[in-house]
Amino acid sequence: MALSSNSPLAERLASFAAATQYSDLRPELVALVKLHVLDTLGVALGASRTSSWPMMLDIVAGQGGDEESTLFGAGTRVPAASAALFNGSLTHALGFDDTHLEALLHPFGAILPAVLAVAERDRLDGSKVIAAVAVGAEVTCRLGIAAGRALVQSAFQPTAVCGSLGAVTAVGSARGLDEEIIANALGLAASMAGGLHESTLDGTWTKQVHAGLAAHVAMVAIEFAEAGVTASPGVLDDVGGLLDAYGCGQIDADPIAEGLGSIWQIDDLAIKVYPTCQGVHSYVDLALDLAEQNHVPPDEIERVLVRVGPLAGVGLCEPRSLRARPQTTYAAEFSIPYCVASALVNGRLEFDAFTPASLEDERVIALAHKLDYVVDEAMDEDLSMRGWLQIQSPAGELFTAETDACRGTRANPLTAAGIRAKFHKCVAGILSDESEALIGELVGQLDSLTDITPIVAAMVSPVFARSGAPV
Amino acid sequence: MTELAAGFVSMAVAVFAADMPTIPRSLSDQLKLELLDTLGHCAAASRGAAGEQVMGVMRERSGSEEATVLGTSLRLPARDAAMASGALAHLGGNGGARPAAGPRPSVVVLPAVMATAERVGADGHRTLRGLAAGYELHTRLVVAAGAGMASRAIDPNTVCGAVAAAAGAATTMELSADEITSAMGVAISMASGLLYESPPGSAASGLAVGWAAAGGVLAAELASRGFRGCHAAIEGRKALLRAFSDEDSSADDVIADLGVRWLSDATTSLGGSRPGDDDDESAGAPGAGVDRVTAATAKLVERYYDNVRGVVTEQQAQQVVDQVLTLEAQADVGGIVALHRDAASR
Repeated sequence: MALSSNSPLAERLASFAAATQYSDLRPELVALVKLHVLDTLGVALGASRTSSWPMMLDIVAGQGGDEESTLFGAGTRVPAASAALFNGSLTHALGFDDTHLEALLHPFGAILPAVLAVAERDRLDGSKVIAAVAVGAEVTCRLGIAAGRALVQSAFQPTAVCGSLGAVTAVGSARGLDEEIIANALGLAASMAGGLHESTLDGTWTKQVHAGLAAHVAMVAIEFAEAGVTASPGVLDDVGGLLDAYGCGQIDADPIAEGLGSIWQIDDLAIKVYPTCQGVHSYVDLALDLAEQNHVPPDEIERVLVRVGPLAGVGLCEPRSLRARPQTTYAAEFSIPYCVASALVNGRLEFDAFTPASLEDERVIALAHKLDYVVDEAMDEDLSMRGWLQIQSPAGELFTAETDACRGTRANPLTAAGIRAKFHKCVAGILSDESEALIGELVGQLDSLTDITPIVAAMVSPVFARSGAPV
Repeated sequence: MTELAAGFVSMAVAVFAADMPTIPRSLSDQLKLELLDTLGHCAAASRGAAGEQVMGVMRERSGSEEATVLGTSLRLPARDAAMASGALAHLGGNGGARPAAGPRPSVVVLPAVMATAERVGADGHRTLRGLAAGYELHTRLVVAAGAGMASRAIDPNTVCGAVAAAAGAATTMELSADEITSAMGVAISMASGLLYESPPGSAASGLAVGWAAAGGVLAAELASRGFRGCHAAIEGRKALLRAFSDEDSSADDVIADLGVRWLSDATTSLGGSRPGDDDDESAGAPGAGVDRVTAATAKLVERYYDNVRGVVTEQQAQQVVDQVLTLEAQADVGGIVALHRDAASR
């Protein structure tokens, strides 16, 4: 297909996916992709801490079928589309996966499970996996930058909606498909992509499976497009197309497609350092810094003051009584008072801060009640996640810390060692030391692997096998 | 939008489904005919070009043979069977043309309920309860919000259908009201579908329909294992109606006179042909074993025969007709589909 700036968005994205090869990626980008792969595998395995995974495992493993692709953690092999569904339901379950702050989404959660499922089934080499993941993440993030804000306002989760389309391009790239088939698959996915934000309001689990559903949409769309089912090319960005129907109005395709292949949004991805809402992170950074400096013993802190932006920060402090004493572990992840207090008291903020028992820690709850906030518009000024925090001693001394960008964002990135440390925290107690080391080593050499199977084969845990599912 | 507390509308729907009141005779008669009609449409569509494409892909699927793709001999996991049946029912029913604005539960709810019923070994009575729950919710959602969805180029049939299919499948599984609520609360994130025109002859619109049916099956499977879906699936601030419809859609309308008035009992896709209405014209139709067969029924039975001609013998087709029209008395609905399957595979 001859492309012009008038070409439908689906065709332009498909063309990018079909054309991009591993050799087109600069080395720093490849290195970054590998770190995000490791991070995503870690948070997927960390999802053994959720209650929902045995349910999806029971369904997917119970259906059986051809032994094509491995279920993360469980080791069972099932048809690739089923593996994408299950594995994708792990990557996003903790909400601990990587974030594109401007796009308001988590790109790797849907893409990596879909690509790995296909790569294992089709015996693809590691360089194809890297190219496919890079393509998919790029498309997901660019769609999110253009449409994410409007999607959120219309109750849709960009991770699910944009992730479905990004995963289509990723799988299309992995399969080496031509642009017409990928464009058709994007069109088919447009009628299957969804995912609503209601569960972030009531604390239920629906959002946990969004990335899995998105990965599954991609597998099904590619499957039928490869069989020759056609779709209308305008169905993404035309009037009455997906983005218009989902409340984004007329989307200009030009900025989405501009610079594809030369400007990479992966460079801007943030990696979450704490298993909480991203908006809490900068305050936890500062609390940990102050805790380490040990100016005031936590039980003697008189008052904690934070400056928060009106966009997100206020909502993470209000309603005051519920934020200071969260009723569920999920609600605790969205509380600046609770997370800051826990960090000050414990000098750390890990998974164990979000157990029912931790919510009963009266030292933490008492300190959380001493947190006040002031609204400061400057906190919202850019997307780098600013923060300002002050503690007061009984004698009235004030100790202040502030940041322009929380850890893990582009302006304050995690080192490779930091990402490996997060991987370790995610898989501790879930993988053996040998498996953990092996996965780290294999992902580090991903571009030179002729077969990616050893990676997923190492992701087997006795924790996942305990489910009672037929694994 | 809604005046009632968030969660109330969805819970009321779930309680209705779990405690299903007596289904009006006219509705159960209609549901049986819908099943017969859909079996015929699926059988016919599986031999058309678009249906062949769908079947070609589905034959490559593998896994436990839990349920039959309606009108064919293919057995697959229930979710996949529902996907294929939904696609075929849509492609056969209207040739894959742009979906009509009204509710068409026969292409979404019915495939999800039948695949679930076959998987769990449900009898005819239980299957009819699942169909009635799904049909009624589908109809009510489309009546309340269909115009608002269509005005945004969203397909009310698939979007409302995914949630209704979840309720229907969950009811067929005899889940509790809480679990049915959860099933609907997961299904809202599987709801999708656009009115955007597909290329002529493409199976694309069928896939969207099949996806909604499959989503309903998966949502019910998750809920039955304890998965906690959203409480206010229908009326929540970021849930079905607000996301897909417009501000004028009222969630309260969805439950007005629920269990007293059956909106599905007139508006199903058979186009208002109501067998119970003209009981006097019963002569000459096929379907031995059925006491009273109306002219409207006879017309649909004839359409079924037309759709399966050349695939099953007349005698086999008559057996299917007899069993479907006495669905409430059948011990295992899997037997009906199997009968069709065995016949079709010859």
